[in-house]
Amino acid sequence: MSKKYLELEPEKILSVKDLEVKFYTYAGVVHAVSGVSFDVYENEVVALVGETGCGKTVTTRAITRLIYPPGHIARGQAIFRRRNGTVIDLLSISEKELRDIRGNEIAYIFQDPTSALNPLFTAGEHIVETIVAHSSTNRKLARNEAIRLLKQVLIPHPSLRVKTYPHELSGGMRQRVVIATAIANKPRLLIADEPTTNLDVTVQAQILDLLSELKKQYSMSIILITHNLGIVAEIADRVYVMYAGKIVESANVFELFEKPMHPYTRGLLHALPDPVRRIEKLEYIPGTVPSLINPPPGCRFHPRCKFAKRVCREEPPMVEVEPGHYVACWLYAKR
Amino acid sequence: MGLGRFLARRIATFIPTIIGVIFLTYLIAYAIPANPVRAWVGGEKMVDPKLIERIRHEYKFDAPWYEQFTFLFTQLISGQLRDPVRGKLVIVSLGERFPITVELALFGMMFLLIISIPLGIAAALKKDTPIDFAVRFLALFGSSMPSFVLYYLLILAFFTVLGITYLAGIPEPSRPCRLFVSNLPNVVPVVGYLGSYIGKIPMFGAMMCGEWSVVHETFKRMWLPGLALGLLSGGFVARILRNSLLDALGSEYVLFARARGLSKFRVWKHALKNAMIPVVTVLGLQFGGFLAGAIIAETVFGIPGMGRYVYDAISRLNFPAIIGGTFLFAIVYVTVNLIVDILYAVIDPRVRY
Amino acid sequence: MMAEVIYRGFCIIIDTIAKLMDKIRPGWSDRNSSRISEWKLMAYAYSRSAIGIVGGVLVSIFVIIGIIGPYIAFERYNEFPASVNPDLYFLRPCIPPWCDPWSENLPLLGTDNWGRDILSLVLHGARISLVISLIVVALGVPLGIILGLLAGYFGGAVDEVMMRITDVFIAFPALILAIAFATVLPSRFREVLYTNVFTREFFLSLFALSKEEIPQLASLLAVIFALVLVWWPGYARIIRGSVLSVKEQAFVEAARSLGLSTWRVLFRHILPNVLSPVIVMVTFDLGTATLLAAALSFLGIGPQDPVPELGFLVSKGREYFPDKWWIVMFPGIALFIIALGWNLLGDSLRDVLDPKTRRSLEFKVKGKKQRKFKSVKRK
Repeated sequence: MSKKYLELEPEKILSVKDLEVKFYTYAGVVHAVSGVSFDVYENEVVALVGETGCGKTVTTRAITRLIYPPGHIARGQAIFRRRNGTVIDLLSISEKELRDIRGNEIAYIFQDPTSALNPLFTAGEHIVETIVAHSSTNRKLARNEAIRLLKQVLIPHPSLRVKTYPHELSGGMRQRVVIATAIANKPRLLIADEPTTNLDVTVQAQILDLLSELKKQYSMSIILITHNLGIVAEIADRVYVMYAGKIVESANVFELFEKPMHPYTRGLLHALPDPVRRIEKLEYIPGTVPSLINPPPGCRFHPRCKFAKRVCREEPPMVEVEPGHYVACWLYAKR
Repeated sequence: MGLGRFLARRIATFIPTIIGVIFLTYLIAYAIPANPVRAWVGGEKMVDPKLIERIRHEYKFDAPWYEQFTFLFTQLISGQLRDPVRGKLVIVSLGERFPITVELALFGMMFLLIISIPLGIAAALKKDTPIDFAVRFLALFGSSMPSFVLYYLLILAFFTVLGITYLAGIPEPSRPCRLFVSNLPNVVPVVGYLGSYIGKIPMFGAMMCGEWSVVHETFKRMWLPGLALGLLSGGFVARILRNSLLDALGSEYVLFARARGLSKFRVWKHALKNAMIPVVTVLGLQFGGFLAGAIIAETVFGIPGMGRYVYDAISRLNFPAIIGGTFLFAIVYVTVNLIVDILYAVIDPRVRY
Repeated sequence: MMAEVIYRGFCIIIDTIAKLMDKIRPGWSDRNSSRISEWKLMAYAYSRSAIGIVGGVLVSIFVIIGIIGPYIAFERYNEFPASVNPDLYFLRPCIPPWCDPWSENLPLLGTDNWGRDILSLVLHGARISLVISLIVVALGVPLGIILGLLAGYFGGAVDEVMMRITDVFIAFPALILAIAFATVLPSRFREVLYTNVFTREFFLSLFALSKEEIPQLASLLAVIFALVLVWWPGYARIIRGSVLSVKEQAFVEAARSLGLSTWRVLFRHILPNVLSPVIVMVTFDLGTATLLAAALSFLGIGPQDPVPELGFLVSKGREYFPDKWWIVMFPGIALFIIALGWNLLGDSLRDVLDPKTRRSLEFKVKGKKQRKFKSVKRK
């Protein structure tokens, strides 16, 4: 294999470039992710925002090649700095090396803790096997570590809970077990895919607090996938807005909420009820998400956009409108 | 913990079922026949009226229905039902033959496992390829083939044409054999009893005595019936394993296992453990089905087991034997199902709520 | 293309039904347009399934033979040619590539110990098997459905009692319970058949048997009835389970809150929603019932000589097996083909009736249409 020399700025931990993922289904080829690029810096929380089905989950899963047939990663690079300082492209390394990184340096929290945990394995076994897979500790030490981790994610009676099966735990407790499993090997990057969507509102806040606490403690970077802008405002540092398999805008969180540029982002923010202002009617974005089998040409938002022009049928360039604030929209592009 | 309560509940439903089974047996024996006394005597044959009178009295046909029911109930439970043809207790005859039927079912099980597990896994891994299609065809073949026709086809091929198998009879060890734990019955009654009963299954008995020639003879005779039973349900079980394995491999917990960087072996363990749950249930039911299906297999292959006994009873209209056999088959079947349920609860913690 | 022809054929049938319904109740097809397009999608899915078409062809052949079999059977089952001409005793089969049955005047599938032609017997046997399986399913399935509906809908004590009864029936292996019933029932049926002329004539003509066979007819009916008795519990259990889940859904709640009568809610709102798995099960069970009935006759419980029930023919051939193998094999192969037809059909119907397959097909078909539509526009 030809080894290209890979470069990554020292403050970055991950840089995804021009990622493209397709799904070959009965109905046709689904272009789930088309040319997505983004960066994650050390010690920051990056939020990936967008509607359901816009390709957020697929994007993050593609980073460690967790895409299985009928899915296929067609193109792209995911450059990652390992714990030992080497820089690699996750999309071209061997399966073995990748397995070494998954769950160890890059860990995932899945959306639905109920289906992510194997019903036939105890909470403790999930953690123990994750530890054992990546280190030379024996199972007994790993078990003690599992109890410590359960304690850390604020599960009461951790030494009893290690022996319980997932169905005996509440939804919030299950998600804590998933989190404990994810942080078991002190990962450098944690990918949290809608970690609170399936939980009660009260539990949501607890889980978010826990995540920011753990982030500080382990100095991890977090990619947070969500469609809930409230959560974004609360814990994210930077935001990428995705629409129909493409990134349409990115900025730091204050900038984005202050000055949303892309018509889609603006629509998204207007669709959010503001408790301070009294509003007559909640706005919504007209139309529906396009089919990713035959996506509209150019800007994928143009069929629903009230500013759409003829030029929008061509691919819009990503422009930096303010330092660190990028938009892919013809409204801001110089022609 | 939860398992104990599950067991208690499951056994609590077991007892009313047994009483129901006896009641249904009573209906079959006393209420449904137009002339039950004649049925008990042996159908339409001309018989001595004195005998009819005796039977009428002996089996309480002149008593009200609840007395008849309690009579049959005690007869069945205490095993007092007597087979008039052989003059033996039905339960004794069946008890002698039961180990042979179990031996047949075990051979069937062995072939079923050999056929279904590899095929099911292969079909799941090579979905929509010729292997997958072949498994689908085998399943259709097995459920469409009348069992007795398959038995004759196999006999025609392997006995008549190729001459590579023996038919009829069961080789028995020369002396009663027991597991080396022969003094166990006094210490742990249930285990000890089971241990000595396993010795009654001819092949296991021979193994315990070390009479390997008998084991060899048994294999020579039993492989064909075993293969036949395995072929009939192998495709079906393979299909179930394939479907549940595909479900498991596509599940979130397997993806999460991969996302945690577990080894291939561990990921497979996650998938297979879940996929085996429906398969274990089906295999258990198949074992019960093999015991019941023995009635045809033993008739065709000439194996002197429990099924053959019931067949002979039918052809001689030996009614007490039919009733006793029906009841015993039901008891065995219900017990096998109970064991399957318990096994299910042991594997799947979600069942023991 | 074969698949296309079959699809068009189904479409014509569906359209005709829609037109007929329109004549009876004007505006029917407009109100049910989504149902009609759903049917057409099913027809499309079925026409693309090779398994389904083979199964459909086998089943059609079987049903046609089942109907006309006794009439095209060139020898009556109760005539014994060997008693007149001993040469006809156990003639070997004469199958075309190896032997020419027409020029040598030999029977295609051989003869039995009475010189009866096996082909002729199999043709008659197909009628008997068809009637048995149809009656078993037609009685056993509705019985199971109704009991399951009641148990699931009313719950409580009704449910508890019914499910315990079902448990008892399921506690017996099906074959064993059927044997037990089939051995004790004939005496009852004989009484009915000797006293009730209408029933007797009806069933004799249904099985195309002559009057002398009344005792055999009683055994046949006993087999059927025994199978009905072992058939219903499976359906009762499954229907009860789906009723329990459907019952909780909003539309049932709505129907009840509108004050509809219990029967209306049960049969108009719950029943249609639990029936679709039943259609597939019934198709498989038509095959299973045929085999189980044959197994009972094989064990000597069903009709006896001279009735050409396929399972009984096989058991008769046992005495002469393996020398006179054809008496066992040809009726056996007939049984296999009948069951295979139903099973193939059921296997494809399971896919066709699965809404998931239909949705994915819908995408495919719509995609094609869109493309066609676009290309027309460009021109």
